Amino acid sequence: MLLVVLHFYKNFWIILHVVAWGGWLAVGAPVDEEWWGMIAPLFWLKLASYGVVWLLMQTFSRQGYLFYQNLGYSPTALFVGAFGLDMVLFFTLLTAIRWSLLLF
Amino acid sequence: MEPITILEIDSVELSFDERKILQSVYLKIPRYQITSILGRNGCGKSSLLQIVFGTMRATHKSVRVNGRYVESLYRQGNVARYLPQHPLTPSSMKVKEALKWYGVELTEAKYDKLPALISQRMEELSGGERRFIEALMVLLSPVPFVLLDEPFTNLAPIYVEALKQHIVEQKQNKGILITDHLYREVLDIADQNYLIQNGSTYLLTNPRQELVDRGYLPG
Repeated sequence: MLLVVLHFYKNFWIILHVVAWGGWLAVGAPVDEEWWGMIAPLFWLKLASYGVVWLLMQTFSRQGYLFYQNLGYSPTALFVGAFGLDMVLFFTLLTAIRWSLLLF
Repeated sequence: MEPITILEIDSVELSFDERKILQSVYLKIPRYQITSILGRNGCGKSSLLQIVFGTMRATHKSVRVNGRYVESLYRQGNVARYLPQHPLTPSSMKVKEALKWYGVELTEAKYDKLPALISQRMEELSGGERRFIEALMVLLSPVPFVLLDEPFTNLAPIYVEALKQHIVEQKQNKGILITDHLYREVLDIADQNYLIQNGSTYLLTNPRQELVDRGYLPG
């Protein structure tokens, strides 16, 4: 399942990360107390950008799901899995960067 | 576990706006047989395959595997795979990677051009080569049923013959549902044939004559 989700996620991960990291940089890339206040807006920004990706794929690329449906996975399962993976990756990286900047 | 031997579809109803496309459809697809669906353009063949596979919603449908109702065939795990009319595989994917995902092995002995194709990306293949590879990917998948929507489209005659041979070979393990406008090729290999006409399916007992009588073929 994870491999299939990862493969599906590779189709649009760059867009999601550009938007999220762009949002973080746009507000000055905070790492101190303000960092905590950024979590919720970044989450909503990610959710919104994810919604746009979903809408674009539903509109222009529905046929692209068939490769995965043949493996037994529904578009809903793929999107939920990819969203979870994206959140974990982004916030883990963000936390790691914050610690690195605070330490050094 | 009981082996899967039959796929049945009935009570299919599909409408677009006010227009009824499919109604009173019944298909029985036994394993170890090739079942064909013929019909004019726009009669609902592709829609029916998608409804069977579970990727298109219908107003009503009943799909049963071994008599057991299933909501969505593709979500049953390794029961069926479907070859759509359009390209199936992500274009940037390499042929060998796609085959691996689908659990298919092609031996070089049988495919002399394979070494040249296997390392290429799908987008680098010609339309016919890509269609042939994708048809084999689905056909040779380790599942009891495959649904093939116009598998011969874009294929050169030599590939059509090769694919026909593979379909007949795969009948030893699978139930195969096929639809294509190359009706001669289809009739050559099919064990039973259905015609879709006015939204309903008809099982043909004397296919060539009935296809003329029902206006699918010129008299």
